[in-house]
Amino acid sequence: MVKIRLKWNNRQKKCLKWAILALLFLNCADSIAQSKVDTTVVDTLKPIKVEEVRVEGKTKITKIKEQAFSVNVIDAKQLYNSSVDLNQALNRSTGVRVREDGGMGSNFSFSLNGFSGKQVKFFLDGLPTDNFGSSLTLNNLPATMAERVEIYKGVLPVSLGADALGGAVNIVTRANSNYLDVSYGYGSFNTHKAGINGAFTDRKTGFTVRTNAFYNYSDNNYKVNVRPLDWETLQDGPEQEVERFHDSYRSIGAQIDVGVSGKSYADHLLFGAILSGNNKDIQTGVTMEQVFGARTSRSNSVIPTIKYKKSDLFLEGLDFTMYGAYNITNNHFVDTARLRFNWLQQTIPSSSAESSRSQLKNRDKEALASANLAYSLNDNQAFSLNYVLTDFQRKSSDVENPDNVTFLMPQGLRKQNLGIAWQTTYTRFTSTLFSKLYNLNAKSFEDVSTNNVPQYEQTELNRTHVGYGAAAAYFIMPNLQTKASYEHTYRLPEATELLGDGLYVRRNSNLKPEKSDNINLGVLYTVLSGGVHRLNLEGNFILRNAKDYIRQDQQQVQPVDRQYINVGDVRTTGGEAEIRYSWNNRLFASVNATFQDIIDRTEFLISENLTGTTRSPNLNYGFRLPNMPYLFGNVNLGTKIPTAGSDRDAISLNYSLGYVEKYYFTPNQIGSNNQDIIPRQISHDVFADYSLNNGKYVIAIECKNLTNSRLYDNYLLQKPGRSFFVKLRYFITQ
Amino acid sequence: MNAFKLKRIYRHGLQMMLAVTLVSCSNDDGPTPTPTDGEVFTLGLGVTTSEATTNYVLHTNDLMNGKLSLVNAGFLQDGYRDFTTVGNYFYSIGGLGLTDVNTYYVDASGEVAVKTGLNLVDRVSDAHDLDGSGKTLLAVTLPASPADGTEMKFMTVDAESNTITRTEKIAVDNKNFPIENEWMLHTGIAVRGDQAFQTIVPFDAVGWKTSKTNKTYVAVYSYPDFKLEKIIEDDRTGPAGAFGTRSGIFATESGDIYTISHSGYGYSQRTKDPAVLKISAGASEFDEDYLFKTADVSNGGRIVHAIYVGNNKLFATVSTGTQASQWADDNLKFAIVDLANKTITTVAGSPTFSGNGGRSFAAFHKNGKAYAAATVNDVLNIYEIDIPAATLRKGAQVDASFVGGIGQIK
Repeated sequence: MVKIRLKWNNRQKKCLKWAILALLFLNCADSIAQSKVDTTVVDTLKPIKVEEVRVEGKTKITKIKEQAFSVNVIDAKQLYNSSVDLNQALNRSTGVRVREDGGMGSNFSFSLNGFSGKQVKFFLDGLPTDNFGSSLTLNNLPATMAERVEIYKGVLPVSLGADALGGAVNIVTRANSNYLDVSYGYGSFNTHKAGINGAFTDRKTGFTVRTNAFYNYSDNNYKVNVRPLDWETLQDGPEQEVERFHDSYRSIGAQIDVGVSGKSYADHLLFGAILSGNNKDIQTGVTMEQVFGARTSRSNSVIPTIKYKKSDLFLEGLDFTMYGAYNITNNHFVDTARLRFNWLQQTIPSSSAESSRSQLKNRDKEALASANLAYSLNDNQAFSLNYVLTDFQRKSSDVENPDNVTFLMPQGLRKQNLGIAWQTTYTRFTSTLFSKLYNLNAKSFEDVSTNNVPQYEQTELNRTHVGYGAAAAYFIMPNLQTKASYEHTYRLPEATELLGDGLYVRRNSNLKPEKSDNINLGVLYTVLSGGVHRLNLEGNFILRNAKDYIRQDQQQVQPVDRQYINVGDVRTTGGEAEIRYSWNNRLFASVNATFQDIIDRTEFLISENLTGTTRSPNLNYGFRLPNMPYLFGNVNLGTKIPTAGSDRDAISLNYSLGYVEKYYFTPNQIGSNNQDIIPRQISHDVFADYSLNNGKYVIAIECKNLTNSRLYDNYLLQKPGRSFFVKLRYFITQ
Repeated sequence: MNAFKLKRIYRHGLQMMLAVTLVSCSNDDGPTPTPTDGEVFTLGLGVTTSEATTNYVLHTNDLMNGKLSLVNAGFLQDGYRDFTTVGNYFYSIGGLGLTDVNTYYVDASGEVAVKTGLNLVDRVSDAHDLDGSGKTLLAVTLPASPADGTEMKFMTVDAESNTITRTEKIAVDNKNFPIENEWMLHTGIAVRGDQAFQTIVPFDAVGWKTSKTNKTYVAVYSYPDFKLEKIIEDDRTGPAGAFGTRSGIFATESGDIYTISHSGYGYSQRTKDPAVLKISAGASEFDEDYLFKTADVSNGGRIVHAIYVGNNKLFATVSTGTQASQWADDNLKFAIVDLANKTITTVAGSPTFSGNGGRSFAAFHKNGKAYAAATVNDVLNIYEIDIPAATLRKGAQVDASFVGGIGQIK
């Protein structure tokens, strides 16, 4: 631990005072909560569209929020008028950081309480979407397709069956039976966004059609500050502002379900498909020094689906749901231009490609199935059994590199998750106890050559692990709920990590899954409700003790034949707090903050090779993990003003502030004047909409990054400056 | 649940927050600057954490005593780096995507300064003092595979102005080089008068196998225009040098050139014994009368990493025993190799250690002393080697994962 000196100078005293205040605040936040009747957790406290929320949304959201799990629920309805995608919506939630490389369609990393990559899993209506292709990631999906988004932190209900080490995000699509929602928007950088959502249900025959579709396009030609390289002298030129010139992005997608609902044999039985695709220009490498003018990638997915639900199957209280899908996704990456570009779009010839000549094609096929059986024994006891299967196979090829042995045989990974849970529900108390069985079957191939004659063999491996957990919530008072949850969870290795790829990665069949013990303690407190003033507070404490992270062995320095090893113990302690206030359904305000102390607990780096074991001290031991935001928050303010003469029309104005404290790309304590800093970011967004005829017609205007701040999420990759967006929306419902 | 004592952890969490708040408030004193009077040494250091390797340039007045620490000291370098010294300049070359050049030196006011802005664009296979005069850096860029490019470049950089003074290119194909349908590695270059001699290793850029191990190959160029004159081959030993080590060829003061073949680290097969060959002064063919089988002499073995230290001698790390696998770089000892007299003298008291594989040898010499680093029992130390006496003295402990380069800028 850090020693505190006994003698304090003035500055330190001041710091101590602030620190104590901060702790008091967190403690206070921990001891407050909110009531059963008023728990609409929203990220932007925009005015509520009366019909949409009060009738059904609120009760569902309340129910989910009051589960014993630590869960944030984003009410997507509140975002329908804005242009945000689901990524941006999630980014305003506590514990979540979405870090983007640039504008629309850019690469992003999603982190939840410090876990990222494959440690956090994504679901669409409960079906895992990890392998759904880049046109169906959260930055493509408009908020209008979702009813709500649930963010489970660290502890997952068995209904979301996956090896999620740090939590999961579940997108729940809209379930209205009859509606049409059409929108189109245009904004800076030639950005277009369009969406159509609708459902039709014939009450007599039960015939049902549900659909949602989106279209996104942007030139992403925002201005950046760079030092263009002079091709003559190979010296960096003076800093100047240039427009991005090869960064356009287009994505299109549709989900259609057709079937019946309200039948004796099925609450619903829907056959459908998700179809999507994207085209992306690639402007830079990992820093903006490397400029591309012709590299592209594209992806398309075809996913036929079947959804079935039947309540009271065979006996009362036995509910069965099933979701099946077959995902066919193709990704194509092209680098064939024999040119090199600088930021001024000047080129020099290159002998092979912009960077590395490639026409890589990945053809992914994945069978997905999820089935859930829930049985309510009585009003207080319920059991549920959940099964999820994902069977993923990838075949790659590259006409530019036909001899690459890693393309030789397909890699396969089948995961099966079986979960069983027992729930008890009483007026003030709810709890669940659960266990999960993870089974993994990986297929790859291995270089078994004993001399220079290449020889490869198919390899296969099976693994089973058991996880478990519990969650409980208790209303101390009707307006004060406390929660606690715990899970011992796993992230299973990928096929390549376990079995190698025949060239770059060598098999490590001793690889263990990443594991973590996750604890959440939370309090929801409704200070004021029912009157003119409404005030809710929420506080959470999180603890994550993760071990055996799977990473490539950094100590093996050869260019090929490296291994993935279990290295990395990380402990996260943190707190999240949110305050929400509304006045007379006219003024809305919310503030949230997240602090997460993510500490590297890996004392030694141990590398094994043929000649023995090397052990070296980890110089980051005991320090914060670099390249991970640790303190961030959001402020949202909104007002709804009815227009004169009509109570069916209204204007709303909203302001939101995003804050991320500065953090470092590499270990901060090492090196002097560490320059690889992601500076403190403060962004201001404003948004106004005018809705007519009870929200049937909406026109909305939005300005993001109002002050034109230079924003970064990743090292030296500049994000867009100030931008404007106008959106028109038409919405009808029965 | 037993693993946790919740209460304690919660309390620790709060204490941690308090501590963090205090730390973040504390004055940013910055590091104590290293004095730049007297000698100033520079080290290229790598720090490997569980997630990544980060490189730094650290300067110090003393390589021999105490601890060299990067805590609040050292200049962060972007991406993978190579280090080399030219005169009073210490180069850190590498980057994330492109290949930038950071040149450290002591400026007129006595401060350690850096020249930036130069970008070599391509991946650098070798960079070193062209002729030992301390004025010119010669950089050789060779793509890792034909997918990355099919041209090799020889670039000369004027150290004083930090500008490129000449760039020559040659197509890497089987018309110019004996690589048939494969690719090749650059493993060393030596300049003598109006000629440059480059050792190459044919290899398969897809599977990283070496199938042509029955000959030594040297490409002979005119200098300074780098026109390929011929390829000379010799089947008494295998190819010289290895992936990344830049220890394949050395020129002596008298104009003799020696190629160092070890058939160890980096080779997927071994078909010839390790040996040194010679191209005599004035000649541009191998000397048929010279053969130095390095494994057959006393203290012998595979000369994997080496620098030339004058008087026909190399300061080297010599590997003994069986080569366990293609990428094993181990069982190394410091040694002095006398190329003219065909002897190997193990440095007295040398530890046995593992090398850094595909990196240039982090060593430099002056006034009869060589400096290098080795990790022994998990501790990384600088060693000072007395070249004439072949003895060593253990120097400062280095708190880093590896030393990628050592040099002196004052």
